[in-house]
Amino acid sequence: MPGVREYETLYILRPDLTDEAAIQVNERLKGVLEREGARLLKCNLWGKRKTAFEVKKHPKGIYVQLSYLSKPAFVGEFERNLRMIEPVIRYQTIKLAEDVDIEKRVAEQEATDRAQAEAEAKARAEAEERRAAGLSEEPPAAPHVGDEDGDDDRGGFGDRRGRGRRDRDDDDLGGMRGSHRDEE
Amino acid sequence: MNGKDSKKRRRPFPRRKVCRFCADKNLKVDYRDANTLKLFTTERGKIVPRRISGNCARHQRQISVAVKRARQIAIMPYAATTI
Repeated sequence: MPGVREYETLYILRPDLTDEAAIQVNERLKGVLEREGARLLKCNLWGKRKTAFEVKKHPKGIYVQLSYLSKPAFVGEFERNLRMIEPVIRYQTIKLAEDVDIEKRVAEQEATDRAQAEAEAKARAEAEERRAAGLSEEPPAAPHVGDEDGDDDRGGFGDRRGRGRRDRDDDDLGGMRGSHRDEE
Repeated sequence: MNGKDSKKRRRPFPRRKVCRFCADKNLKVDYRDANTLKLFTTERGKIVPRRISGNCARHQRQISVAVKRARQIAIMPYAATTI
């Protein structure tokens, strides 16, 4: 008998979907999870963000992440459901762990969730305090992943340039042929 | 013996790079984290080889899997268009 595994499914919805519709889709999928005896660990709506390339002609998408514990056979069923839901333009399931102890993992997840919520609350309180103290030069940093649009962020360039050799490798032609540099 | 030296012109000694994931144990390779993965791809979206990124074998492997997963779900580009 195959053990229970931990999976994570990330799916993308059409960007023109309203929030309510997105939540509705998510509820439907949660229903599937429940019906098939999978244990939901975490549901995370990232919201709308830019995709790295167009997916079915859409430059953006609503990302939703679902983590759950289930038997391996469930994934096929779950993905079949995803395929049937029309606004889902792309999905991917990843195995995170094998032979998971359900109760233990659920408790663990709850603990990390709580810790995270606390950390966020604390950060918010601190930001509040600082603002109250009149030191509000910089706005409070939002601890949120979802908003980054994942593109056009040229921030990484600075330290990239520093790695001299790299630029040459990137010009596509002959990039693999590093040998000419090593001769002489 | 000057001849030998000039024949074998030394490239400047490269600084030994340290795998940043080994240096910081708390750092995890996550395929959802586009900003970190971007450090290990070229502007065009190719995965940077280990000899340049300085990653250890284990983490380079994780990076490469993560980048490929991220591509699948449109977090990272397969190939960036013309720059």
